[in-house]
Amino acid sequence: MTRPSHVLFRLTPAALSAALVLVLPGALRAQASALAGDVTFSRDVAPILQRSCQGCHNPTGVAPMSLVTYQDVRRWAPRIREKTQLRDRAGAMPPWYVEKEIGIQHFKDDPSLSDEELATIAAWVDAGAPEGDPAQLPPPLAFESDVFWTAGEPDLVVETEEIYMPAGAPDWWGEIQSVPIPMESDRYVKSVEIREVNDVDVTDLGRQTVGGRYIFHHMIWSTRVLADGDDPTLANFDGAEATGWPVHEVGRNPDIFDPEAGRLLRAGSSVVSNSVHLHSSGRDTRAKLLVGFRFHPEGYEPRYPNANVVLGNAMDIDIEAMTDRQELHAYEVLEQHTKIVTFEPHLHAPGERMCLEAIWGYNVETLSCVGYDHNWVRGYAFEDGYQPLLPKGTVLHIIGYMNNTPTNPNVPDPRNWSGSGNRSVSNMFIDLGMQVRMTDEEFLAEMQARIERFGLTKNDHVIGCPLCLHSIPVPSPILGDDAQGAAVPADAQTQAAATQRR
Amino acid sequence: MSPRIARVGGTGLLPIIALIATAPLATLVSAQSLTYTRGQTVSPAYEGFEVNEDGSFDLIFGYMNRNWEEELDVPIGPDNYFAVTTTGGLDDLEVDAYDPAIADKGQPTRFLPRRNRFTFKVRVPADFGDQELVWTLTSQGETKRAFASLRQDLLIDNMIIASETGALGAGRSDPETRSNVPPVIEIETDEVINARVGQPVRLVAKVTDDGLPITTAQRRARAAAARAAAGGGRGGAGAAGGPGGAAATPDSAGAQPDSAGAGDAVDEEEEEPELSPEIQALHRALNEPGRVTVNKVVGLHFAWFVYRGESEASFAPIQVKTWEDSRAWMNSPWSPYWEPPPVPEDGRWVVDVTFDEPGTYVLRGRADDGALYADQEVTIHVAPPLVN
Repeated sequence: MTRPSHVLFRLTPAALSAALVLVLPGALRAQASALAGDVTFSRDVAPILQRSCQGCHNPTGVAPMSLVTYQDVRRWAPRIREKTQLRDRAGAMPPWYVEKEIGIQHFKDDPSLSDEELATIAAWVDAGAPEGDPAQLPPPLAFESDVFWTAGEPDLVVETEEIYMPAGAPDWWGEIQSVPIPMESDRYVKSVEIREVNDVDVTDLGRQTVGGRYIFHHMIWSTRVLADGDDPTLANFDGAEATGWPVHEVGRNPDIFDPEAGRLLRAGSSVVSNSVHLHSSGRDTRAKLLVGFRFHPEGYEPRYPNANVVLGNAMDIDIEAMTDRQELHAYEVLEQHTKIVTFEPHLHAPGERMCLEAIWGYNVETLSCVGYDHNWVRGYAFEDGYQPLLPKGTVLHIIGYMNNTPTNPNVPDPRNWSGSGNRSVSNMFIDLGMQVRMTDEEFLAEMQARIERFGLTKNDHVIGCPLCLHSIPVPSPILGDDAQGAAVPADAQTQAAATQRR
Repeated sequence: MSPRIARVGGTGLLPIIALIATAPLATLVSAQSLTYTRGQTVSPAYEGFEVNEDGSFDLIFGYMNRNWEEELDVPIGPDNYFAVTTTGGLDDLEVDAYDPAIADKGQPTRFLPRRNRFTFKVRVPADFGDQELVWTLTSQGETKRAFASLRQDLLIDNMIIASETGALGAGRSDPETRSNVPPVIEIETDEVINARVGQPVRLVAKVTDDGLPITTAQRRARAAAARAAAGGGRGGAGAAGGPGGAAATPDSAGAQPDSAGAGDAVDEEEEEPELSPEIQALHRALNEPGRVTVNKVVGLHFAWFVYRGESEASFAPIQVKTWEDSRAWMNSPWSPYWEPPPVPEDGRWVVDVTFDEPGTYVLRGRADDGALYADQEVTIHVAPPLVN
């Protein structure tokens, strides 16, 4: 039968791999060629795998294969090259999708590979994946448990009840048993990381479905002090003494709060949720969540309150069948000076990419563009000193790109139209990122601190900080007793002099 | 042309493949960003399937009419039909599979604006296997199809229905919510009625329901009672079924921006107990709704609409919209600030309907408790007006 003209073809993994080899960027090919014959696993490749891969790819990790020893890695060499070369697109390894040609490039806990590291891997594979001298291996990482905490070992881990999800069950939403937190005093939290522990056989994923390694596809949760007699299965309370936390999503990475905006974990509180979304993995699965908190030192007090930015539009989504690059748009006006702490796209199965822009007056600036894979939902925490600092009145704009074609393996049937909904196979369109709000004084002080930290001159530009290069002298009382009261110096000499004075 | 498509590199092939394989080639700058009132197409939608006790399946369909005002009429025929095929048998939209013997599976011919979910069901036998039931719909000269299969990802139950329509907000439930069952409709008028143009026809539907899910007002009253019972402290056991709103402390403010259902708490009105209800309502009217996910106001209501028929009907009283009008202050459960109409004490919903054009009309009455629904239909044969 002649293939109809508009019917798409599905690429096999082998065909895709072969095709990718053909279109390596010229620069990377050149780098790889230059390195040919001089790259070994022990000296050059193992450090890359330790930093970016072994958190999951270890003998007890969530990945289907370990990438620790040479024997582990050698047979996967071509696949490693293929997956790493995907870079910022779905299916890429490590699962980190920041596009490197646009927007802010400084993020916390960034596991992505540099151009040099990609070239190293390519050269190593081209050379036949030599082992090299084992004496040059870096010290091995320790994998003492089946949970590797990306943000670092938590100070406190809380474990939810175990949930059972049958193989053929439809999506489910509801509550979990509240979990008491064993704390005798209040503490402020600097990061929280949630890991799902389950009995999924990652070497046999069974039914092909989005997010199939996990059954918890989201958990909206808070910590609350429950009163005596409260039913622990009823997670919804209208009471006070509650702290909200970032939504847990399928395959999620840690949430790292702004250093000046730690969140309060109260003594005597419990983890509560009446909004857990479970999606069948295709096998009978038992799973629980481990919630790991890392604390600020005792005596810490936050400076900035969280901002209440609601950015998204998942109500009127209209995704045509068999069509790529369908755009969604949402806007929100910032009613206060705001620091963007994280960018966290949320798109579900058809989602492929999201960009975040700041519109200040006529000026439109892209803060970040990232790929999207609903198997590994990522929150991107801007590095300290690089978070967007946006004045009141700035319009935040997100653009979502949806791929409803066979080239997106997360979509169950791209021949069908797709709309809004809560199911993993339906569509959402939200930025779930974190922001903090600032007073005029705090906003000016943050910008001044950035100027000083980076020695900014008038020819510099800071992505996401449209006022950073302002040249209006700021009165000292606003900046504090130690401040010079100056904004960007007129030239480098003046900057150097200013630095000396300080 | 997007710079991304032009870029060739480690990530360049996939967009190129998509570009090659996708027609049309131009970026589909979303029509959904522009609110067309008319002239746009309708896409049939496959919602998923239910499993019946006897092993048969109900394949459920809806649609998306891209117009915000225009209602399209597409009669059963070559532009609106069903066909059964093997997997992929009708992937080519050029293939004409119209067979009048099997074309009519109870689908609508009148398409209301925007999103209409779970509109009708088609039963298939237990041995349906990997066949596909395909709905072909041509509107504004464009043909589109919905392919219904038994793929496991699309299994539906009452929770799926409640969730996808927005009754669960971003996805919350509790034992009480999950015990909800659909309302029951008893039509007290004839199922087939003869009428004339301009002649009002009275329709009476008695609706019974289990009272779930509880409304926002009921939830608040319950929470207030629980607080009072607890001696004025926090709401305790029994304050269930509503959004997990954050307390108004700086540290907990993160619950709203971090939750996918943040809008639930915002446009379900933060309480201002010191203000009168009238002033609170005025404040709400002037506030932008802050929802980000499909969100529906729950509360039993009943509404008639034209399911099949070439012209419009006039209803008195005005009927609640059964389609997802997400604009604020619209007469739709998906509209921010909407409140369900009072439920008749005797459960009987009475409406007069009048037609301006002769023809055969199928009117559907939908009882909707906010999460689950029930449908019944009447057929009205409308003759031309009498000439004196």
